[in-house]
Amino acid sequence: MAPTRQYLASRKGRFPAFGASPAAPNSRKGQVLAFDASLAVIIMLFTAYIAFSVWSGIGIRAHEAQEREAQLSRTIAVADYLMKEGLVHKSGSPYAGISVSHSHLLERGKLPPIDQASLAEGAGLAGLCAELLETGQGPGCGGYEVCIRRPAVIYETGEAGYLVVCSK
Amino acid sequence: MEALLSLLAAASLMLLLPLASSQQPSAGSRIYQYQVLQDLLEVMDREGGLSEAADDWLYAGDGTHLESQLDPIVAGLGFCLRLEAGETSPAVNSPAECADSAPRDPVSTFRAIRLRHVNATLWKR
Repeated sequence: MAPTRQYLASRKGRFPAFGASPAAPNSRKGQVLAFDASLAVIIMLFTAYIAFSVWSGIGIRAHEAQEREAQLSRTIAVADYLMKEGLVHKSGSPYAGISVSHSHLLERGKLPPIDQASLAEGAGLAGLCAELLETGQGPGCGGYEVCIRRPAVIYETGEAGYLVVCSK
Repeated sequence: MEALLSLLAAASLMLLLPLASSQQPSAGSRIYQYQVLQDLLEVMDREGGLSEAADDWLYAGDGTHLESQLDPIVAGLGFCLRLEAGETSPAVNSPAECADSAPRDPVSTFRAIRLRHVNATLWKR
């Protein structure tokens, strides 16, 4: 028995294979859009990942640089104290009770009496090393993170040399 | 294609930004550099000072060449020092190889010697 026209009309649309289906072109278009969108999402996620990695790297490096800078500033301050007061050669003057400080003329003999541990503690440093070296001598103070050299004249020899101050 | 290119541009910008910002010397290292320059001039003063001959050249206080006095000190510091007493006299470079290199982030100061100014410049080698 052949299906009636009314029955076929009611089935149309439920089974697209049985007739012209208007949904087919729309479906392909949707797939293309979905592919573009997913590619965009992947690129966005990748960009976000790179941005996050770079900015967190910048933050870590900035923190490390800040710590290094603080340590360098403290080391400079300690070296400046030794250059101007701690190791400087002082001589008596004709005026009673007044001593004259000779800038950049440092006494090697004053180095051992200085309590380097308490000097480091006062400056907020974990460790400190100070040495007076003549030109051409080795680096001095091994195993420290930050080292600075200040040119000076060594009082005992009268020769130019360096005050080496290292910290960690 | 455009999306990939823009991604590449954004990524390279983000990678170059920290590299460019890390080139600036810190305030602490500038202070230290300036202190070293002042120290060098003070040590030169103590070791005989600078003198100026009739031919406008700069000499050490004992009449010897300035470079021979300066080189051992400056070389051990890892810096370059240039002393200029004017346009007519040649600049003194210590160590000598610093004459060929352009100063990078230099610090400068003036010092008066016999009514003439000596310009001293120091930079990292």
